[in-house]
Order: sequence, then C-alpha cells, then structure tokens
Amino acid sequence: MSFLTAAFSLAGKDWRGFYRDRTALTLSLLVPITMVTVFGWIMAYAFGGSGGMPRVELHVIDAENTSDSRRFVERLKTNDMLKVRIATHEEHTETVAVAWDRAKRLIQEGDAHHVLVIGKEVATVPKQATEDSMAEWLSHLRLARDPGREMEDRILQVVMLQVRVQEQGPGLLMQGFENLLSDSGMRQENIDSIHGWMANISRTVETFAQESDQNFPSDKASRSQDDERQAGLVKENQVPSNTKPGSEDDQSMGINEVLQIINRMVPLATEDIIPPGRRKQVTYQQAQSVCGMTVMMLLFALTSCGNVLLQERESGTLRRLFSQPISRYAVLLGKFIFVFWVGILQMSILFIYGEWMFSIGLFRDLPSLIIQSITLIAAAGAFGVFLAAISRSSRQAESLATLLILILAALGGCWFPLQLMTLPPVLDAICRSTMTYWAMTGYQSLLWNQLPWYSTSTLTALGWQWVWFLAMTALAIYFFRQNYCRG
Amino acid sequence: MTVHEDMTDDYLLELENVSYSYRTRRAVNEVSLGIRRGEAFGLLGPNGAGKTTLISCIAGLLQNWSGSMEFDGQPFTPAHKASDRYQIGFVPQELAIYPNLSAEENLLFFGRLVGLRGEKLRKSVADNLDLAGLTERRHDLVRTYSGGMQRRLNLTSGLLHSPSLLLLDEPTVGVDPQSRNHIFECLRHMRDAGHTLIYTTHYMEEVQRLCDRIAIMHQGQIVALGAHSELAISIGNPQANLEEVFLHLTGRSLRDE
Repeated sequence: MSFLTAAFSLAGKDWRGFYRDRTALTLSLLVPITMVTVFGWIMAYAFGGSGGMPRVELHVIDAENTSDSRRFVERLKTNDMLKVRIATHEEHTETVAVAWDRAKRLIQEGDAHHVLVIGKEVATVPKQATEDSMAEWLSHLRLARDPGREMEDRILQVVMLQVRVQEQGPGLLMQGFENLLSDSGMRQENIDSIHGWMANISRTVETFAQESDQNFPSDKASRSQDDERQAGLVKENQVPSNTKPGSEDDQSMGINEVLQIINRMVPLATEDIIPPGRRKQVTYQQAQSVCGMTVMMLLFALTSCGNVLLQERESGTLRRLFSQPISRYAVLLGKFIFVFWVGILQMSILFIYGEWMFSIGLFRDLPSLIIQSITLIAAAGAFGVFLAAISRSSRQAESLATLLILILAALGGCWFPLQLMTLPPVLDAICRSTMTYWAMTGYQSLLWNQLPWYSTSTLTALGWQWVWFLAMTALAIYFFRQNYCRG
Repeated sequence: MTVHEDMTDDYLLELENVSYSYRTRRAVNEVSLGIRRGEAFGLLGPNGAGKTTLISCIAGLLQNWSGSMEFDGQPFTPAHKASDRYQIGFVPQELAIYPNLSAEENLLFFGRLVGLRGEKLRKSVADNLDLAGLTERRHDLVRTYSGGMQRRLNLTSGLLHSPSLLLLDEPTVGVDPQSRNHIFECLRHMRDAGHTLIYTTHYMEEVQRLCDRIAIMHQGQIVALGAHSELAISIGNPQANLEEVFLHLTGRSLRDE
C-alpha cells in the first residue's frame, strides 16, 4: 500500500468513527455555530448594538426636583451612551447633603459606580464657569464616582460634556477657552492667533451636541431663538479659513486632549469614592478579568474531572464498583467529592498566585473569600458531575462541556462586563439566570466592592449559586439513575 | 430442551425462573438452577448465550430481572441490598482495576469498599498480593504490569473479603499459559478451601479440570446440567470430551452476539 493510500485509509477510518458517534458529531458541529450565534448576539449589545460606544450606567439623584433639573435628567435619559437610573428616595424633601451621602453609599456598597447628584450648593465650581450665567447649571451638579471604573469614567466624561454643552450652548466653550488662556497669562494677540484651532475644538464639541440633539427632538423644538443664533455663530466661526474638514490639520488634536482641556474649562465637581480596603491600583477591568477567567477555568477543570465517572464506565471498573456492598449513589458522591477537592486545590493555587502577581488584596476578607469559593466550587462541581451523568461517552461530555461553558461564560459576563451592555429584557433575564453571572457578582462584591459575605448583594449571589448547585445535583442524580443504574 | 434443576439439595444459591430482557431481546429465559455449597460450577455457552447477563443478575448489576433468587435459604436481591452483595465476590471479564494505582493501592481501595479496616485489611491485602504473585511489585503502578499480572490482580481484587460465592466471568481470557495456570491454581485452592465458585469461560479444559458440575446455556436457557460424565452420557457418547458435548448441544454454526 502506498504512503498516500495508507494515510487516506487511516483518515477514512477515523472519519467513520467520528461520523458514527452521532451525538458527539452533532455537538462538535453545534459548538462553533452556537458560539458564533451567542457571541454575535451578546456583542451586538456590548457596544450599544451599533458599533458605537458601550452604554454606561449613571445613577442620578435629583435633590433639586425643579423643572430645570427634570429637563436636565430627561436630556440625560435620551443620550445613547447612558443608561440612566433614577435613584429615588422615600422623601422628596431630601437635602443635598443627605443625597450626597446616599450617593457615596451607593458606590461604597457596589450598587453604582457613578452617581450624579443635582442640587443647589452641591458643589463649588471654579470662577470662570460660574461667572457666566449660562454655566450656572454646573454648580448644581456633583458626580460621585468609583475611580477604578476607568472605562466607564472616560465614556461618562464625554457624555457629561456633551450634555452640558447642549444645555449651555457652545458659545460658552469658546468664551471659557479664551478666559482660560487669558487667565494663564497668554496675551490677547496670541489668543487671536490660535482662534482657528479653538474653533476646531468647538466644532468637535458641537458635533457631540448635534448628534445628541437628534435624539431629543422635543427639546430641540423648544430651543430658544437665542440659542439657535448662538449655535449658528459658533458654526460660522469654527472652521478657520486655512482648514478644510477632514484634512490632516483637522485631526491634529486627539479627542482625549480636547476633553482634558474642556474639562478644565468647564469642570464638573467630582469626588472619588473608594470602598475601604480596596487597593487603589486595582482597576475594574483587572478585577473583572481575574474573576471571569477564574470562574471559566474552574468550570473547565471541574467538568473535565467530572469525566472520571465516564472513564469508570468505559474502563469497566464501574461494574465492579456497582457489585460492591456500597450504595451506587456513593459512587456519584465520591466523584463529586473528588471534583470538589480539585476545585479547592485549583482555587487556592490561583488565589495565592494572583495575590503574589497582582497584589489585589484577595485575602483581605478570608472568610468571605472561602465562602464564595466553596459555593462556586460546589455549583461548578455539581455541573461537572451532571455533564458526566448526562453524557454517553467522554467525547460527548467534552463537546457538551465546551459548548455549555463558553455560553455560560459569555452570558455570565466572564469575558466582557455585562454592565456595559444594554440587553433586552429576555437576554438580561437569561444572563441573570446563569451560574457564572452570580459567581461573577459574588467575586466582584467581594474583591471589588469589598463587601463581606453577609452583605445583601453577596448573599444574593451566594443564594443563586446554591440554587444552581441544588438544581445540578438533582439533575445529576436523575440522569445518573437513568443512564447508569437502569437495567 | 430446557433443563430445570431438582431443588432438593443443599444449595447456597438458588435461581427460580430467572429471566432478563434487553428491550425486546430476552437474554436470560426462565433459568432455574441451584449452586451447591462449596462446589465449583461451570457455566458454558457460546457468545450471546446469556452467561454474562445471568452473572450480572446474580452480582447485582442488573435489577429488572424477573423470577426469584435465594441465598442460603433467604430471598436474594443483590441489586437492592448491599448486604446481599457482600456475600459475593465478582471478577468481571474486563480488567476492572485502576492502572494509575499500585497493586497494593488497588487492593486497599477494594478492601475498604467491602468494609475491611486496620489489621484485617492489611492482612487480606498481603495475602491476596501473595496469591496473585505480586508481592515484590506491589508498589509498582498497575499500568506497568504485563497482561497476566493485571489479570491476576483483577482476580484477587474480588477475593479480599473471602466471599461465600465467587462469580468469575472469563477470568483467564487473553493471558499467557503461565498466568493462566497461576489463576487456575488460585481457583482450585479456593474451591478446596470451601468457597463456592461460578465460573464462565470458553476454555473447556479449564472447566473439565476445575468444575464439579457444568451448565450449558444456549439462547438464554440452560440446555444441559450435570457433571461432565453425566453430560457425556446425555448425548449418547460417554467418552465424549466437554467440547464435543458443547458442540453437540449448541451446534456448530457461528454465533454472533
């Protein structure tokens, strides 16, 4: 037999074997199709569904509750990049100080990462902004933020600037910009010489405002003639005679630089709220990635270990075990205990390494860490044993595990923070029903928000993981009886 | 022809009209027989005759059989009662041992499963390692053993608690003559020590040498039962060896499972 004939014969033999395990074959083909579908679906919502910026959740406490403040909140709500949550309070007479305390508490307890408080005397705003009557609104706004949420913060900077400009009109920016340069000691002739460059910035800002205005037609219709005129004036002034739109000069300044300058001109009073115990160098993305990978890899490891049940069957040792004077369920429990031990070992090593590598304060609250980890290991272990109980062969189990774990990881937010997505109610409910979602919530409550195991959010997460454990255990027992004990 | 045992002897195990079906196929059909205390009982039959299914019913691996079983005069439901399974030592056809454990670890594990502890466990393990001829290599991983060594360990893994009844499902399949002889001597030693054996194999000379009585199964039924000489007489040829009896009763055509 020639070399190629032999090779093709072997390939043909393997193909026949592959083809005849129909379930494993179907799963093998289903995995990529399902993954593409699920990730395509999820990621469509990750960036607002339009390839734009992710949506950021902003809690708003309107302690002022005037027509102006309500109008401002409505404008926030129409912004594409925001998910506005109105942090309602029981008494409408909440003072600004009380509202501010509540905002800080929301962040400290992990219920929010950015809270905007609206109320007079809520903030002290630099001179150049308050001098202008149109900037009076700035003194009504104060932002409490979690500084570790850098990604959301950057997006929010853009949005807040956009909304404030819509409120105040772009003319303020030009004036504020010139005031800023003048205050810093620049002579008027020099300011005049860079007037075109400033107009470039104004045009960028105005673009934001115009894009957002399209989503706010009722307000646009009610804009005063004076505002229209002022916007038109800026439009006339914004393009210098020697600059064409889209030219290299047009892109000479990055948006970050523009934002930095403009935020200095028209600052929003902001205070960083860091939960006590969190190390400042940790970012949310870091914590999210660590939690996500921990949860996902644990699932992979434990489902792989759950396959020892199938290996017992395939090697014939299960027949001998079943002939021993022990309960058959002891075999199932034995597999779960083994998987549990592996989970403990993996988590311990992972946490020790993670602390050594990143110093993110994993062991600050050891009892809470242990409780959360044991809960997840129990749920993931039961999931692994369930997969082994439901599968007919190791190959089936492996394909099924890959399929389910990757889906659970995507839906649970292991790969991308769900907080940045605006999910339709059905998908949101699906995501919230996954074990991975609650495991992520549990670890983030613990590691990011520094909440103890008995806090409401951690207890909720723990509770749902135990629900998963019980459901998986019940299913594992049922399928074990069906597939292993019948006959 | 279906043979039903006369149920008047001192039997350790009695089966009465035991049947078992895999969906629509009846693998064991109304089998009635008794296994005498201390005898070596050979169970022969072509592939697919129902030997392994019958052994599995007795070992408690299958539970939905019909009919009745009695062990030492008491109802016997091994699939449901762990205490019934304790009476049995089961040596399956496949190598049901753990290749990543040593011989000693395998025996310690199976010994604990049958409830042995402490000195009793250690002594039983040592005795069975000796019986398997594996004392010197007791710490080596089983995956490094030859096929014959693994077979010997497979056998002794079922003997740790000195069960009253030993079920042996083709224990010598695929081993070299030396190991086969060693296993055979072990079984003879056990029989002489008063253990009751039910032994299935395709090696006729083993059954002829070891077993006091022989049942031949065919299509799920016992078609002949008795000592070798009785079976030979039953086919009208007192000089016939067991293979001739077997082929006479089960035919010469090829069998598929």
